[in-house]
Amino acid sequence: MNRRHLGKVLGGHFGLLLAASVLAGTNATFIPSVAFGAETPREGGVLIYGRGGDSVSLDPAKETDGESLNVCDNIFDTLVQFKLGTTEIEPGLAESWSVTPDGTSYTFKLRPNVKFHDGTPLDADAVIFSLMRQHDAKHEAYGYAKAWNYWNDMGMNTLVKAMTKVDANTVKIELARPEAPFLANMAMQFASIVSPTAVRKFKEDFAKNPVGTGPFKFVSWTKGERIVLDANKEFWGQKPKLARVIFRSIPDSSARLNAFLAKEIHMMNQPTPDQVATIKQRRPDASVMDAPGMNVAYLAFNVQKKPFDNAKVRQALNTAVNKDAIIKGIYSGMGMAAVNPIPPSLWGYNTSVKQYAYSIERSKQLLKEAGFPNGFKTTLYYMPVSRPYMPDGKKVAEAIQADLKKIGVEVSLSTYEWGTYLDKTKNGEHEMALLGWSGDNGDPDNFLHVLLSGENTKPPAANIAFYNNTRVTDILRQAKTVSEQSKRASLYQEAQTIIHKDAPWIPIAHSRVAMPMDKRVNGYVMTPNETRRFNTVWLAK
Amino acid sequence: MLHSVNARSPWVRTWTEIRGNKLAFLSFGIVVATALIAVFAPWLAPHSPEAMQLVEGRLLPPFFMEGGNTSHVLGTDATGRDVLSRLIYGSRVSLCIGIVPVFFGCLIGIPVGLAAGYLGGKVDEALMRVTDILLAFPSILLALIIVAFLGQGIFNLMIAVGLASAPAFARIVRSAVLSERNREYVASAESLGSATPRIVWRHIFPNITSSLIVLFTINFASALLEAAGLSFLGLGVKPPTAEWGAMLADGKNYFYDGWWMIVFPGIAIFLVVMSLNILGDSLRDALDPRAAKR
Amino acid sequence: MFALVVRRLLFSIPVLLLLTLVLFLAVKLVPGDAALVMAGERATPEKVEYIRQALNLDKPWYTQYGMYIWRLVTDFDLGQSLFHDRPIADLLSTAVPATVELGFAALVIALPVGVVLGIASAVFRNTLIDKAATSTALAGVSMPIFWLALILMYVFSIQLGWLPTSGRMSDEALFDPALDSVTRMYTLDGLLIGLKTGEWEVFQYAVKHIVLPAVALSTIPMAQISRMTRSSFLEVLGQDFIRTARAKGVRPSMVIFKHAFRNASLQIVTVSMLQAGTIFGGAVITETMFAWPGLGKVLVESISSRDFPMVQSGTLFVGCVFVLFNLTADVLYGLLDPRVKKGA
Repeated sequence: MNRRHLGKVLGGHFGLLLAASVLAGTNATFIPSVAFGAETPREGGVLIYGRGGDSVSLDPAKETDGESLNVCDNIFDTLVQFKLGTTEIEPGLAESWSVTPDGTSYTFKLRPNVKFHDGTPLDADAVIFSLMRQHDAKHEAYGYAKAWNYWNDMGMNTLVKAMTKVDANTVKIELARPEAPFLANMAMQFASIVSPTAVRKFKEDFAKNPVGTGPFKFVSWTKGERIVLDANKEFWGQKPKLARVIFRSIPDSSARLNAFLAKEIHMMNQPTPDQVATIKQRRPDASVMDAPGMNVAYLAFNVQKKPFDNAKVRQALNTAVNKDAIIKGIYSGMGMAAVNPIPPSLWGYNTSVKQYAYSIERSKQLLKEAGFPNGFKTTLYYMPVSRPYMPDGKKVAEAIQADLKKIGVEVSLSTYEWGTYLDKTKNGEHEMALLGWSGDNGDPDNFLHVLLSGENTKPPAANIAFYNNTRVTDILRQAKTVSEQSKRASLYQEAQTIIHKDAPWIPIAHSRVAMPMDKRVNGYVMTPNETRRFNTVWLAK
Repeated sequence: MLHSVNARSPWVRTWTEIRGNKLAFLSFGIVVATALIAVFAPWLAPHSPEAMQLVEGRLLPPFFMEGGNTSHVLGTDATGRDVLSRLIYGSRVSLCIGIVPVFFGCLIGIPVGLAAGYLGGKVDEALMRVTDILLAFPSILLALIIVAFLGQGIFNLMIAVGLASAPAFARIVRSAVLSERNREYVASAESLGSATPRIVWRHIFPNITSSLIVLFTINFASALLEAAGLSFLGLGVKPPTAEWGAMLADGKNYFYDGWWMIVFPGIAIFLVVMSLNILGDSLRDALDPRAAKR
Repeated sequence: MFALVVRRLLFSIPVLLLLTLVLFLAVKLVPGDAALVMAGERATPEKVEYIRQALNLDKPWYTQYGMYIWRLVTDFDLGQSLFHDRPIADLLSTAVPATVELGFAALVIALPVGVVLGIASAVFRNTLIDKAATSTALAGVSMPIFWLALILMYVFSIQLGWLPTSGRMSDEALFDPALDSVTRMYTLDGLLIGLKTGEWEVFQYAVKHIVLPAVALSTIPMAQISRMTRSSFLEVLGQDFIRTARAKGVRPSMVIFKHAFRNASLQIVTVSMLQAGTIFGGAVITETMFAWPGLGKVLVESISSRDFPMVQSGTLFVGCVFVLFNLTADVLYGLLDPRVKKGA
């Protein structure tokens, strides 16, 4: 009955209030600000977010898919968090933290007086409970998930040595080795702090009854249809303006488009590039936000094989590929040409590195200097599947093939079933191969160290260029141990300069993520790591 | 009296019926033309059905619209492939996917239905229970499962759709046999000591031909539509194979800016299926002895 | 009659057992390590091990099958969905009512319209009425369902703005399905709320949402029912006893409704029952088009996410339902035509 009453307030009452104030406005000189829409953030309203699938579960430590994590973004908080719209770290549930000079011990001071949605106070025990349930096989809640995927994927299981409660509001985490990106890991969803009371109460079913400290609290979940979250008025940070957020699942992309065109949803997740064009044309009252995704698509030369051991050859090929045409024709404009191995949304991106300008003459010149005036023959592997960073590997390969033909390089294309493909490239069977990477934690280390450090060239290698520049490897290792971000940033910038000159890749593109939304939606911020948090959003009348 | 009507060959009467009925004649023409198009596709298609034009030439409208040209009479799709050429090549796959499974279904279903209906008793019970198993799977679900386990592909698709249509034949044949069996002429033939196969062939089979033709028609239609449905769900033919249903599925995201990607394959399916249905109805009139008499 | 039903039910048990076995072996047929195939790209050793244990893959197949059947029979345990990580019964309990509601709504449209069209065209054979009715039926059966769905959506949702394009309930409604739904069929819920409180808002929302998908879904069964009705009516009308009745001076309408209808209903019932399969098949597509979270959609999703326990138990469930449908068709058949009993 109570909830039904709340619904009434949400559904009907605001309309009445508005009507009343508009009526009042016609009489007196006072004109209510809502009549103008955009100026003052409006309190209340129901935001409907249309997306491509239902959540698997709502325990952020269990799941790795966006549809699960994006709901969790609103229910939970982490100790440290990404400053909205960036990959910089700012205080979250921990109002401050300190690192020992050797970089192996982190002490987090918790924000006082924060409560979970169920009233449980946030304290050191809750933090340790949330993290240890993923780490310690003997923990009472360890068995509630079949696998704590991200904790293991990010190497936390070997990195974390011990977790201790210093006092009720202080937690110390000791690491097995210095690892600067640890802090960024703690800002990822899997490190969310959950209510221990609720986990003990619901056990495995906590994933269906999530309780956190975030700006919205869980109300209901109709499987396959929608998830409803209501504002948490006691939220410690920027208090939500919306009264309610509904996550609607509409898996078919054309159905989602129709729902958006028929104004049934305020925001539409994952439109295709062509749908964005349709929306712009058919719904002039909607806006389409877009932001570069935290990813990169690249062509890796196998630098251990001739003629790609020659940097001049690699530079020549870099100069010969018309990236803009690929972006326009294959990404339908929903991407940007890549210059560096990391996307520009990451801190530490080197803006002074300049693109190898597309020029057939210059390319031929370079080839000649390298000793291949008549070009050569080679092969290019392309991915058999569509990935977020590259919608169609085959078409990209065909475009590159055509480009390289102009400088006399004959490319034959080949592909394998996806699993085999990853296997073959990791073992260096290719001469040139297309691949890409989607970032996890917004730390440049997660791109540069993983993909281009000499430490990762042993098969099965993540560095499929088998690029092994000792200077770069040193810099990347050093950047892991320094904890000061500005110092790390300059190290990464230096690495990018060297990598650009050595050209082990042709960085192809960073795909863009688009978000069409109703004009009434205000204050939404797109984030590089594709979180969806709605506490800054308000809905105009 | 019935037998005197039956004396003329059903096929002669079929042809006479088609010739005499303008609509049926037109439908017949459409079906034959589509079959010919399928056979001569490589000579008729102006472009390769799989040739893309990525940078210039995506989503070109048909020639009669602004921006269209006569090189791509019906426009191009989202990757710049010629819609007309894909339609022409698509007729091959689409017709096959429609007709092969139905023949397959007939081959299995008719003998089963005849045996069950005529022999009755334990045989009937056993056959109908097995039929139930197959019928218990809505055909699209059966197709989905076969595709899930055996993989995507035209052949698996045809097996699935065919297997799924067999029980309907069996059931209809059986129920027709049950009603026919109880008529006096069968009973009298039985009492006169005719052999079972002879009774089935001479008395029962001719009397259910009409039901079979109607059913064949319906199944041809639904097989075509089912293939389109499976393609829509991403489980039909493998891309980039041109098939009408798959083209429709490709086009569903372009309802607003590329209506020709939906309208033309839709019309193609609609026309062929409709023609087959009209034809089937006419044949029914021609071949059904009682209906023909009126 | 009772004995017949019991006998049929008993006969259904081996059928269903056979069905489970076939499905079970189908899962075994999947090439490669089933556990690895299911775990997919991000397979961690823990996950693979979990699946292996969950499915008893370490044991011989007949043991696995035995355990599956045992759990099914003793605890009515359909198992656990790997992808959703929750009991399959749980998932079915929300998906099935959604599909039943949609299918029923489609049949409510298809049956009367189909029968009336069919009778009209048979009675007024070769007139304009016949031609119009036949063409309507032809168009219905020849129309790809999602083509129609797109067009319906375009006209009624996007151009006219009368009806929603997706979902089962308006998000603005006070009604929260997860908390308020009693029957899991929202039109029925709305009806109950309306009758109890006099507020019909929920019912209106539910009906608005179901209209377009139900219409899209109804076309093929409607057309087939009308075609069958027409042809069986023609057959019946051509038979001697009808002509005799006419000759005796019985009024034509009486002839049709008393004699012809009773006789033709045999085939109409068979065809209508067989339409349940068509409706479910269509529902798979319609549910996807209109974001209707029913059984069809759940099964398609489980196939594409390689959630084999879900595929297995979900299909078994659908199988049971349709075996029951056929049984009902047979029984009705017997009720309507006493002669059949002799043959059976």
